[in-house]
Amino acid sequence: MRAKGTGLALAAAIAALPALAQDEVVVTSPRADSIAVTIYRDDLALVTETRTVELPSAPVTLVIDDVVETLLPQSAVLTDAARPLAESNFDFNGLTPRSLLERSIGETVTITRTNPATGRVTRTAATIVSVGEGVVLQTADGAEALYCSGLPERLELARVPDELLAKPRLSVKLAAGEAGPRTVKVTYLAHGFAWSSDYVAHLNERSSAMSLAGWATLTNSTGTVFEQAEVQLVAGRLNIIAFGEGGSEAEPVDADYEESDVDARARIAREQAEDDVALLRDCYPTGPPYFPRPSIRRFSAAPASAPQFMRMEAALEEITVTGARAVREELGDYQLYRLPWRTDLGARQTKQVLFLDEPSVRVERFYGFRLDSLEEPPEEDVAIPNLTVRFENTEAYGLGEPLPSGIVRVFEQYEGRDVLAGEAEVGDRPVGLPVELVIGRAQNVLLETTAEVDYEGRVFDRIVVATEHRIVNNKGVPIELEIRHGVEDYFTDVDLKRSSRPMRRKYGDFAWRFTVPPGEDLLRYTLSAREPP
Amino acid sequence: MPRHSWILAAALSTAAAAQPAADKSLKLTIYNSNLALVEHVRPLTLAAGRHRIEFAGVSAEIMSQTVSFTGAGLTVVEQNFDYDLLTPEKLMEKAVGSRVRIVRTNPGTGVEIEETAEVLSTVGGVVLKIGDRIEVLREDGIPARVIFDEVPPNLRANPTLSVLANAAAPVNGDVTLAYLTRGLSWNADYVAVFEEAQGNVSLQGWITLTNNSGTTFANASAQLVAGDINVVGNEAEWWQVYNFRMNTRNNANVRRAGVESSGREQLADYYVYPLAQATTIANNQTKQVSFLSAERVRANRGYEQTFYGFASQQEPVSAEVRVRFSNSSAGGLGDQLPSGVVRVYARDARGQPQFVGEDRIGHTSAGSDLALKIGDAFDVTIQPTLRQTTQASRRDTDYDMSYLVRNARSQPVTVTIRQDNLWRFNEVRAESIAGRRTDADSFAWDVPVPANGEAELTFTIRQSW
Repeated sequence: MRAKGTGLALAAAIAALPALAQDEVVVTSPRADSIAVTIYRDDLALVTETRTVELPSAPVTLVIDDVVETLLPQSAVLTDAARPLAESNFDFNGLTPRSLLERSIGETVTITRTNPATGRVTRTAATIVSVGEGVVLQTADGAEALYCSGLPERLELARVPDELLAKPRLSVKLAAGEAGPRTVKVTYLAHGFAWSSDYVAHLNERSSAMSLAGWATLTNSTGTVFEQAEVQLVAGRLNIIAFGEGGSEAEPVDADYEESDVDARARIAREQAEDDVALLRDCYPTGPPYFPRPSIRRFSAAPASAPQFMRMEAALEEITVTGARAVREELGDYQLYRLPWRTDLGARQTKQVLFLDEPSVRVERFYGFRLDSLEEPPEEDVAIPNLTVRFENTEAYGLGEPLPSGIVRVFEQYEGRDVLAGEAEVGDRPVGLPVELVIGRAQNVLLETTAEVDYEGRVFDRIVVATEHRIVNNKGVPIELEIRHGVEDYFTDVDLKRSSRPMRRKYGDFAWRFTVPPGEDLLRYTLSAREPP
Repeated sequence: MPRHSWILAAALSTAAAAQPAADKSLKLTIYNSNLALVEHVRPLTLAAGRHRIEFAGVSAEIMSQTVSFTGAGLTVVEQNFDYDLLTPEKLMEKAVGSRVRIVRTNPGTGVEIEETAEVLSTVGGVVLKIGDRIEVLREDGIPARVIFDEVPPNLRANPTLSVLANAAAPVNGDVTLAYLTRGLSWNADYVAVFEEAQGNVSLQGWITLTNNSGTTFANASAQLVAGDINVVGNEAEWWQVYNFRMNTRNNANVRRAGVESSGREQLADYYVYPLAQATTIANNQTKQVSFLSAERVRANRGYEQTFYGFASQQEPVSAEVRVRFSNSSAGGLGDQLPSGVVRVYARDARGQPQFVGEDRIGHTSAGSDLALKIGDAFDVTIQPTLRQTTQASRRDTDYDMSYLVRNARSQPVTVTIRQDNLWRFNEVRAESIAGRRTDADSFAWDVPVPANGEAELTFTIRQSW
């Protein structure tokens, strides 16, 4: 009897611990008045919430509910409160099967057992005594371990303990100040957002110009719904400290981190949840042959109460395409695109917005071929050059707008219909830079390349390579061709000795650009270089 | 109220285990490296004699070998960390030699039969003696519940520390329990709002405490120690040290280490940040406390890029954007900065602060010059071209490089280009802009680029081995 009394007192003491100090004034802000979301390229967003709260003059704990669950607590800042901030707390005792049982130690629960033969259900009142590696219960009969009998067993709890939150909660302690309504700003970084850009280009019939439209696809993979939010997108590469990089700088970073941060977080959460649930089922040895434990999967099959970001992989629900165009401005050294009006951004929603729409960009179309070795001939006897669309990102070409990195899909007109000519990836391209899109392989254009290698010099350290390209143009019309020859860095004193056509350098390569009439044509040149001693 | 009940429980308990009341004071010293020193002071009343004193509510991540227990008039006989958490397995182990009840359910008929059994062994399987028979529990796979008469008193739901101590005379005073624990850590986080037009940055420093120790520390007086203390077993591997050195060398954001001292409290060679008020650090909580606030610290922005080796590149390389400021008192800050992440914000066209990148700093002494890398410039790019390599002699090679710097911004910029990792003997033979030697194997040039324009840096470096 004595032991039981002690057990209850212990339970009471544990329950009292997390409670906040008495006579503390708590003001809860249930939701934001307005919200702005700035989405960055890779899995990051800055959320700025405006909230109006009624503050008393006494020191107060302001509870900020309904924040995005993927919030980075160390980035959260409250501004405009007009009184000193003592501390800020972020609590996330997520509701999981384990936390539910752990926080219910000392609570009375019901254990329901089903007789496997008769189907008769027995319900017994029990108290949870311990939750560790396995669960121990106290009933009127005595102590028992849960899930150890081989019978179908189930626990029923009356309520969820208060401190277990389905959503994380931010709270700040503010010093005394002027009483009255106050508009404060809460800003924080959160994961689970991303955006990418895609371009659609339509070539005109003569392939001399194209229209270029840029679409931003933004994704909210969190479980939070943003109503009437201001949405901005930032293009450019920000320096972001990798996830998992711990406290001090002395901890080195693994540069070859292949897993993305989102994946890593989801995986760790999943593994922890699985471990936790498995541990709940630990028992004393139940003896060989091992009775197959009842396959109770109710905990392990994607717990509904698991942190939201675990479910990010779930298919995104809908894609919305909006008609208006985002407006660009400079933000420091990046580009910021502002959606012109407030918009609803649903949970697990993808939205598309136009950010660039140029009716006519002048382009050049040529076929390109590159050798990347001085002496090694190309692998195939017959090579096919690549179809390249080139333009300069300038107003003179009809463009002159920053191009955030993305995939360009180029369409051509064929018998009055649009056909996909090919697609190419382009990196961030500021105004003024040339853009070359390699969109496919040529049709009816062939190259035959032969090389003759010779050595000269007193110690035969000078390599002389005579290269000949025979070009076959079966297109029936003249084409533009660019042949480039790159030389490995370890050669020195590289020299073009002879060339059948004028040469210019391009990105360090030797390059020839010329028009090939229908039929056959030739390019011959000799390069020489010294081999390192 | 709990105090009385504890004394009562201790007095009546036949096991003579004394349990001190709740913490009278709780002190925490938290280090950067997932380590904390915890000191509980609890009142205790004991009669003279030998007692087992139990401490509940200690950290679940306690390093039990570091426990120290002191109390006036008490001599420690032995100290145990009974990690005897109550689990089904322990429950069965403790039942060896005693009787339990077995309720078997016939899977065919559903009839339940209850028998009394003696537990003989639990190693590898539970061996039971039922009447005259010896059986292994559930060897036949038939569902069988085991009912224990009671939970053994020394098995608990939480990790418990127990100390066996001698009291020469009755004790009515405070006992102190101190230990190191994992699961508590802190680092600094900084919010830097960069006002480019005004040429300054406002910096706010937050201490971020995390508690994953499994225990809530209520009303603790906490102090935080900044500095990397050596912890045995935590030493980095050689390759980690190498990687760290390379990383520090290549991305160093401290350009000049400071020599100023601040008025902060010091402990050995480390700085101490005491928290002003007693605070409750709940389990799974992240707590932030402000420790630094500086307005209008002089700051500017710079572009730079370092190249290793000489090579042409097909794609332009973006220049790194660095926000530069000093934590010297002359610059307007005058405080050392504990290790942490600095998040930089800049204002958009509407005046709203927007996040523009972050960088990690190490423990930085006051008076240091910092250059935080916040990202890659969208509009400032560099196109490197190796124009020619010439063998000047058997050992000497000349590299003729060109760096075409393009600036699509509407303001002129200056980009610092560094050529690093040169061979042992190196010299600049020709250069289009006067550069400078930055160390034994690197040179740097500051390239001014007009607004919406470009500039080319060319140089020839001779290096030999």
